[in-house]
Amino acid sequence: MNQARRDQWLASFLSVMVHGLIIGAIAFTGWHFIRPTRAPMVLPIEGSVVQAAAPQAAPQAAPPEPAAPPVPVVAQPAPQPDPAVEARRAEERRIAEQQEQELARAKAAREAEAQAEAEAQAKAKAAQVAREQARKDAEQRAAELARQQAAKDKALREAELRDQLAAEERLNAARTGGQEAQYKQLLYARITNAWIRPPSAKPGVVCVVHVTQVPGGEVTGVTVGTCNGDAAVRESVEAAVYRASPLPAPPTPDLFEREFTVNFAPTD
Amino acid sequence: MHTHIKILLLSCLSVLAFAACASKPPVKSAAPAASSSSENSGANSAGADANNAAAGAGNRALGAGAGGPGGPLARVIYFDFDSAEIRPEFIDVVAGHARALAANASIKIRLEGHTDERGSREYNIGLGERRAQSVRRALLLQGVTEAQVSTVSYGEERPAVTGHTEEAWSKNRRVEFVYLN
Amino acid sequence: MQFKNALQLFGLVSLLGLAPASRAELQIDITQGVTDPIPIAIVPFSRAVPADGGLDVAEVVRHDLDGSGRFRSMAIASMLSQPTRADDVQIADWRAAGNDYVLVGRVTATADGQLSVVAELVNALTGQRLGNTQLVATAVNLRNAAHQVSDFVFQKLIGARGAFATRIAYVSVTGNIGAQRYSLIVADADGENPKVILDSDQPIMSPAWSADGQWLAYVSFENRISSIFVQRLRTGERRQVSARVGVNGAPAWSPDGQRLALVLSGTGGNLDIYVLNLATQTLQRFTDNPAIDTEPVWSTDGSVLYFTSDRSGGPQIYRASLAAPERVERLTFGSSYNARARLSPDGKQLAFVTRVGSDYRIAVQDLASGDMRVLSHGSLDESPSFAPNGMSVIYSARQGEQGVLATVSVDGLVTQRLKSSQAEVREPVWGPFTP
Repeated sequence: MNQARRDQWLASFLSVMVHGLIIGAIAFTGWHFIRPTRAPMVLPIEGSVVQAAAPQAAPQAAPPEPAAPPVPVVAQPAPQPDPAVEARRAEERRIAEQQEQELARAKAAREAEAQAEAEAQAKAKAAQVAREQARKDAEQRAAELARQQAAKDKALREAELRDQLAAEERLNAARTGGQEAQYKQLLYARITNAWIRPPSAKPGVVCVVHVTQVPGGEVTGVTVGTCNGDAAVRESVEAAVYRASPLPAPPTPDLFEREFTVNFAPTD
Repeated sequence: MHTHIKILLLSCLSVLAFAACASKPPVKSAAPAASSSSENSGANSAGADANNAAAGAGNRALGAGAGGPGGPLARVIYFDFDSAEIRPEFIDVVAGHARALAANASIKIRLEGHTDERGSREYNIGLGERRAQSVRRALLLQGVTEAQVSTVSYGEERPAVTGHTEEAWSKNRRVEFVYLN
Repeated sequence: MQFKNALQLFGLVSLLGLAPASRAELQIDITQGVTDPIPIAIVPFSRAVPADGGLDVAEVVRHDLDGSGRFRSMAIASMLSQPTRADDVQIADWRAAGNDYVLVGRVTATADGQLSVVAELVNALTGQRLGNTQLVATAVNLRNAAHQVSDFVFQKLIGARGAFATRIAYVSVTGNIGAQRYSLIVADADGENPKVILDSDQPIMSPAWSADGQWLAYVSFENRISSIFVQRLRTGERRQVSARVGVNGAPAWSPDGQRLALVLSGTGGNLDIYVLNLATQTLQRFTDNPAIDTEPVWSTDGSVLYFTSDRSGGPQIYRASLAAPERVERLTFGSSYNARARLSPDGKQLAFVTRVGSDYRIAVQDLASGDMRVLSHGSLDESPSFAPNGMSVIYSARQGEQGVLATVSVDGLVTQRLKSSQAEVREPVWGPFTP
């Protein structure tokens, strides 16, 4: 294979490599948004919770229990008093007991009430927390879904973009590649017809000639590089490029190359 | 077949005509001596008369009696392309010469072999020699002694007829009987 | 997060940017050229009249180079100026007139009565000087000096040694059947300057040059039989070296000039090849076969003989070494008739006569690969002989009723008819380079 083909292969290979790297980079960085992350979020709710609606189930708090708090039984060692007094005292005691009981009941009631209230409060608070939690979760969920969607959309957009780019590239290549091939064909035909080939230019002879041209095709410089032909071959390849001047114009001006290389390598 | 007989008759007639005139036969020429020269000397010629007289004498001698009932004996026989085989129609001719030679051991003959112009010259020398040898063998088989027959090959160098057609070529593929005395 | 975004952005942008930029440097591969003649202006040289004897050196060069088919010289009438020095060559004018090269020169008389020839070659495309050549000649060999100028241009631009200053030998026949005269002639390679070296009313055949160009061997029928002579060209001295009974033919000089390979038939009439030592007159038999074995040719080192033999039915080319002549190798196939081989100067190719249908043509075969190429197109082409630079083959052909000499380049592309004469010419042999 000659130098030109090798370079073409190298260029194609490099191009594929770089494209692959870039696409890989994009894919890698975008990967994060597509796959669910493991730590540290734990969703308490599995399944499809769509809306942050009002919490349906209140937390199971202990039902208020009118539990009678244990009444401290105070054992009073009673001295032996007189009956009336005792009666009175007993009555008093009874009243006191009654009062105490009432107090206690009231207290208990109050306590229960307080407790119930506390519990209710706690319940409410828990409910609120739960609600908030739920709301937060829901928000997160929504956010995550939104992100997922966004990521999907983005991936979709990127894919579309890549497709679009590839299509443009193909179109470009078809256009410029076709035109570039056309330009090369023009140069090939002109130089081939201008190369008066000496008998010593046999297969195996390879001469690399560096050509400089100005717009309009006039050849301004010819340098014979590596060349394994004899003096007549060297003379002939240099003459060929000059005889080919002015070189044909490319199909589009942006294809013009001020400097290019001609590889003379006869095959028959 | 008929064309061959015609050719034979023609050649017989022409040979007779030439013999009668005692002039130089078409394909004979020059003397053995001094026919070449080096760079600075001029052209040569040769004492052709001496040889012609001899040939003429030989011809006259043959004409006088060797021909047999059909007439004078042909001096040329012809060959097929790339072949040295004596064609059937010439067997009698060869036999006639064999008789004449066998009858008189002092008569000497030279067989001159020729080819048509096609192909390489030195290879044609070989073909001409093959033809002459073929006739020589036939003569030796019929009682002629070796000392009487010599051969020479001219290859394509001395055509009898110019031309680049089969007709001309067929007339050049030949052996000539040249009586030396 | 931002880094990743940035990376993505970069990636996308790069995709856009890189796609067209992956094109490699523009390279054009040229695998063929043309065999057009090189356009060259050969400007008339300044003359040294009358010392040059009327010879126009530039005209000889023009004829040589045009005749080779590899050059096309400019018409003198179109020349706006006629410089004689490279310094005076305005390349733009010459280039505009379509020339790639310009040759200028001068012929001047020297003080001692000789002629100085100077020629300079200029590249009209670049202005570069390609060199010059300087020769001293007498009026007699001025033509040869002109041919050497052609050799100089040929070497520079074709890359091979020119054969313009060499000689050929051939046989010329005049007169009608029955009154023919045969001459052996030595002439310049372009057919000019013919000199008769032998004149006869008997056939002359198979001229062969010695390797040093001093002698010709040939077959003469002057003694009513075929015999082989050798003749020294400069003095005209000649010697008969073989007049054995039967056929004496096809002489070929060994490269060292000491021996002749030749063909004898003896009394049996069967042609075989022998090697004759010229000094001792001893014969060594080379072939011993009932077939026709003839036309021997020496290898360049003198150890092998190539020859024609019809041992397989029709003539073919064979070779065998002198050390082991019984080990015969057949070289030609494909046609029922292959004969009269000649070896190229580099020993790599054989030229011979081959039959194509009913036509006899000149072919060249590469000995290493066996590839054969038919070079000529006539119906009765024969006697091929290589030029000493191996680039072309001279042979005889028929032109209407006349035998003529022609040359064809080994690649088959360039043909040339030599200067024709009244005579029928045949059996050309190309002489060697004379150093």
